[in-house]
Amino acid sequence: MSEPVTISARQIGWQRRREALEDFWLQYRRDRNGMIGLVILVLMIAVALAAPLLASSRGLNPALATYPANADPGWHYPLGTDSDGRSVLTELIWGSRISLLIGFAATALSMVIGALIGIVAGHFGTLNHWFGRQTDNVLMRFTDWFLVVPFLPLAIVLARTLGPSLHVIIIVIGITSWPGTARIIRAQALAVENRPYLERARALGAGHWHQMSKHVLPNVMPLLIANTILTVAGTILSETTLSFLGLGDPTRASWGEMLNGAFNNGVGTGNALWLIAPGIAIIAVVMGFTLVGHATEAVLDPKLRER
Amino acid sequence: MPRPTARWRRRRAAACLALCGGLVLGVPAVAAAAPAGAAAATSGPGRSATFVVGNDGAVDGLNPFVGQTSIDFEVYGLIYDNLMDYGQTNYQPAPRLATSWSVSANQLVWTYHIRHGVYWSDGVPLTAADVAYTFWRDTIPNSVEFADNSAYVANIVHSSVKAIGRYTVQMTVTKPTPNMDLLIVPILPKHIWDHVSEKDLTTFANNHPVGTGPFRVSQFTINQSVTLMANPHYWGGRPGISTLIFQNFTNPSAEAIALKNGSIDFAEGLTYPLFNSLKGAKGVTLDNAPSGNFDELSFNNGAATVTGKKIGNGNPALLDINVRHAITYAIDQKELVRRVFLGDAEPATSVIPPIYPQYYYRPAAGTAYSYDQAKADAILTADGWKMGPGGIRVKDGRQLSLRLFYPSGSPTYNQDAPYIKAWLNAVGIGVTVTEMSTNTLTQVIGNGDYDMFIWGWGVEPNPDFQLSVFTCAQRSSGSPPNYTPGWSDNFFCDKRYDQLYEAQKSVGGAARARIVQQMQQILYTDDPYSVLYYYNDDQAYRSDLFTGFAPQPDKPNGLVLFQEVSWWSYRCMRPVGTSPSLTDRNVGCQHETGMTRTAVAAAAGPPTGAGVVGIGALAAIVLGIAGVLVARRRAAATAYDRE
Amino acid sequence: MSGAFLDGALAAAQERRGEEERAARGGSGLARSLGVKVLSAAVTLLFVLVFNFFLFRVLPADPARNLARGTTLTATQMAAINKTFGIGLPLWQQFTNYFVQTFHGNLGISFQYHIPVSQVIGKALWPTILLVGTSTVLSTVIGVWMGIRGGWKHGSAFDQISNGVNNTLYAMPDFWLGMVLLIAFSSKWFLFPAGGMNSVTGNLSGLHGLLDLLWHLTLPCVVLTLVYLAEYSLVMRSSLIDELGNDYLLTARAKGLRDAMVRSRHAVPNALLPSITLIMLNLGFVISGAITTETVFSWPGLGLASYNALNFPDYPVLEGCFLLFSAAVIVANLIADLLLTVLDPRVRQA
Repeated sequence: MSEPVTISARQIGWQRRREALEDFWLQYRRDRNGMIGLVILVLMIAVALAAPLLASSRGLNPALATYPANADPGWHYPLGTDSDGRSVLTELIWGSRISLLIGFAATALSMVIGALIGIVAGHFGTLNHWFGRQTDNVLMRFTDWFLVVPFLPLAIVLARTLGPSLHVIIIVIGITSWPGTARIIRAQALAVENRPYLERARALGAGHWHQMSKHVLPNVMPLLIANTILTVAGTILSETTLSFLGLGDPTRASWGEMLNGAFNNGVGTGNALWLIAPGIAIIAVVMGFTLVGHATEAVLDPKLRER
Repeated sequence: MPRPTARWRRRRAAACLALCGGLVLGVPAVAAAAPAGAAAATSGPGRSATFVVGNDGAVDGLNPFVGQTSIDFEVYGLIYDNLMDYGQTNYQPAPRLATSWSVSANQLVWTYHIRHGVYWSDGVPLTAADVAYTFWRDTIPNSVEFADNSAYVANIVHSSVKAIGRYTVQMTVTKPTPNMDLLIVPILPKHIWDHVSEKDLTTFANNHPVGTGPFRVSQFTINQSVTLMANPHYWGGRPGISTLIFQNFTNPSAEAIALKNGSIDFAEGLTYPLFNSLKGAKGVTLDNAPSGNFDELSFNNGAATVTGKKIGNGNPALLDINVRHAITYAIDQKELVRRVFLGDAEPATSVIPPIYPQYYYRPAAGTAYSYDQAKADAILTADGWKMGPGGIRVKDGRQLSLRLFYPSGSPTYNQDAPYIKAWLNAVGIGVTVTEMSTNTLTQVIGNGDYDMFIWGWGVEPNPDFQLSVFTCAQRSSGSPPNYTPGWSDNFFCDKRYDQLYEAQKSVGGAARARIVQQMQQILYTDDPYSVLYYYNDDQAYRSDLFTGFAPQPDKPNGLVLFQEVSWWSYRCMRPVGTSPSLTDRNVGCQHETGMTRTAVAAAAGPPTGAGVVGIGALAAIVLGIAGVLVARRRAAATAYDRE
Repeated sequence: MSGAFLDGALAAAQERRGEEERAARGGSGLARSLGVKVLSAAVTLLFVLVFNFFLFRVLPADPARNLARGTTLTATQMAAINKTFGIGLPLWQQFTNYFVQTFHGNLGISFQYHIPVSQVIGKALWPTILLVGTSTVLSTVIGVWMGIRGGWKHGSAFDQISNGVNNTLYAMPDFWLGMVLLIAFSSKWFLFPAGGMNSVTGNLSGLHGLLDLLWHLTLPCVVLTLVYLAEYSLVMRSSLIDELGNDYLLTARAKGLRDAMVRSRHAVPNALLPSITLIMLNLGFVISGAITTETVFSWPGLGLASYNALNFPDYPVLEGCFLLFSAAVIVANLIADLLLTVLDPRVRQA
């Protein structure tokens, strides 16, 4: 007979998480669209990480470019060249880094703000006194108002005051994307707040911060993750639009900047791949995130399954 | 209710299809009538032609005091006349509203004889009173009008402007001003502008301008286009076209496409890659025309106000002439021309471009800069700049790290910047590049808070203004936090240069040219600007449709339109296939180029055959789907009734 | 706009609907809840006005500089010119002027054109409404139809193909699609014009003018339609599938109704609500979202006016457009809310 094994609460927690993850994966695997999206994303991220191995970064410097400008595909430049004589493929590979970086960073910012406001509003909103409800009210009015503010004019003004650079773009996109998340998280937080174990925690004297971080947050986490993935899709598209309008960072060749260059320097005249390639890359990445996001949502919320 | 039979259903479906078919055929039939109208407009006999100019920008407004862009001034010169023009062949004064002029013995009193028989577009005759009024208004001290025309009216004494009789005007200047024989100032009707007060001046829309020029405004829509009709009674002869339209394109590629399509006849403002992509396009002639433009790398040569007070945070290393020389040697002008302009530019020497040959500066043998990295290295090393960590030179504990700015909105500055950065990095100079809006950059420069920037100028045939940019008096003024910028964006200040500047104002001809050359030599040696290149104005037009242009300078690669403050081609151009006698008696049209290619009918207006096919196809699809849906719904409805 | 973003907006609207139902059951009265809605929209608009004011005062604006071109104007003179544009006064005075003027429809003077901003915006309004309106109608009709067809028989070939198409269109930047269509149909084959709203030459009266307008409208309209129909289709499909599990449909089928009847008379009307909400929400955003499409096709609407104002930079025009875009979104939200209240019988009982 074996000895009874004592394991700590922490180890139980980790074991449960591992099981949940395996469960999740088993279900996720069955979603065909989700798998397609995952493959695309893994591929894109691999390309972005392996960029130095795939193409020399010197190829990005127009001063060092030696190929003919606006050329059709050739041996050294399988996707042709742009008007500076740089290989479109090199720009595409390195551009993935910038586009993905901006996507992730802006989303992270947006998520943090959105989750914070959503959880706080949801938590205080269920409290039975005036102060709590007012906090919820004010935060939601603030969110509503942010939802209404049109993204582009705000982005324009901020880019003009702060100058076109990478972190400005990230900040601009981040602070215009959080309202959607806040709304969804708040709704979920409200649902969680009514669950019995939270009542018990309150009865046991748990403070607000403890309730929110140890109980509410873990339970909204799945929805938050799904929402995050979907938001990345949106932020990448937003960055593309900003760069196209000339508000992006011209010293970094993101996909949006490539499209901006193609717009200004000759499409329909020279190498059409300069326009087409970044577009297809953007479509692939955005679609990848969207498919993965929807699949994740479906697994986490059984009601949404079988779509 | 009688049950609908299968036959009835089929008949209904047939009726639906018939309707769709009828529309599909009808749309093209009706639309086909349209091109006939358009065709008449472009290839008809005589003067009934329309010439469309595409541009990457629209006219801001028709008030000549508030225009700011080149297309604004292009239009003003077509609806208003000046007293004289820069001649088409050699930039010498050509009479326009002033038929002759003379100056008194002491060089201070100028008398102009005004042309007889000129009428304003509202029928009122032009007299000396209008000319006098225009100059009187333009010399009101501290006014917007004065600021707008100061390059020409700066020395005129406001109270001295007067009309003598109906056709003579007299003005006195404060000191000898040879420039008074080339006053590019639009002459305005007194009976209109007398009613526009100073307060209302900047917001007066002037939507129905009254002018004496070869064209009149018939329609103006902001952000879109301005339509001008030929003035049939123009004193200089009736133009060879009836309608002139300037159309705005926000999408540069679309403008090139429109030229190929025939939707426009002239494309201005194309980027260099787009221009080159038009090589070989049917009926299109490419004019890689040298112009009066240059771009420079400007240094912070010790920013200070007109009182001499030092301002800003410029890197003191740039006060060292060796550093500036090293930077100039490190830049490969030929490579910039090749890569950024695809060859459509010329490496530069100093600030007056070679299209003004008498003023263009050629450095003496042995004194010219060249692309020489080794020399740049040597200069810096000899100056005490040792190579330090990160490949950046260090001297006395200071790194040689400079900021490089440039304004947004230019298709070439953001291409120049990485090259310049790379070349400077190669000789051990650290560079951080930042793009900013023109307003921000102007203020930054005015405050002296910069090291280097890339920007450019357009130089008129009269070099006075361009030279004034380097005078001490054009530096910033006022007080912190935001100084009022002058025209100086380099803060160069040299007493000898200022003296020569004053001197060239009072002489003309060869004497003046000599002084201007001396001034440029000072600039070349002292290097407050590293002038990069003189870039061409690439113009593309449908030579298979129009001919008779009068390029300036009078060479095959002269500017066809958007000339240096001149408007010769507009009076002389005519459709291909018409006789030269249509315009060759017009003033200024003795040197136009004639092309004898045959006209190609390319009516580009309301839907052509192909466009009609497009709409027809779409209409057919939409109606077909609708028809099918309607038929099915009926069938379903009846089936339900049956149940 | 991003899907997650609109999901959030949708969630907001649905949540409000939920609150509506609760309030209605509690007997608060339809009129009162409508009144509250309108009031809250007005308050949001007020916030936007205030935000607008401060946002554009942050930027350096000096139109006199452009007119002065140098030091020949004295500081007093420049101050006087700037006063025409409303700059240089003390902040609180500018603030009150701003509010009073805005309520009278005076949005200031454009730096670039020197005419009232309301005129600049007024001229640009109709082209945008035409473009946005046409594409909204088309994308709604086509998108909803696709969603219904796909959702009712989900898993079918049509559903799979349309899903693939929609996912692709949804991920596509609209200006990219515009450029591709421009190259294909204006450069490679000259079927449609390269830009503008009307031909500048030729006969433009009557039927010819209308056809010419349609000819120019085609490409930009196709772009906007394609980009938005994907969303409507996906949402319609989702909500229809949601409805599929409900009992009343079982009843309808048990009654012997044909499939198409069950679908169109019972399921679809109930499933339409989220789509309607989405369409109204989108309408508010499309007006500002058309900026890239208008730029690609040189379509002289509000988007193009904003783009030109952005590059100049013409702050009064930008401010005016910004205000208009925000107001459009607020009004669209309000209408969506009201529409839901009217359409959803569960709310009307009180």
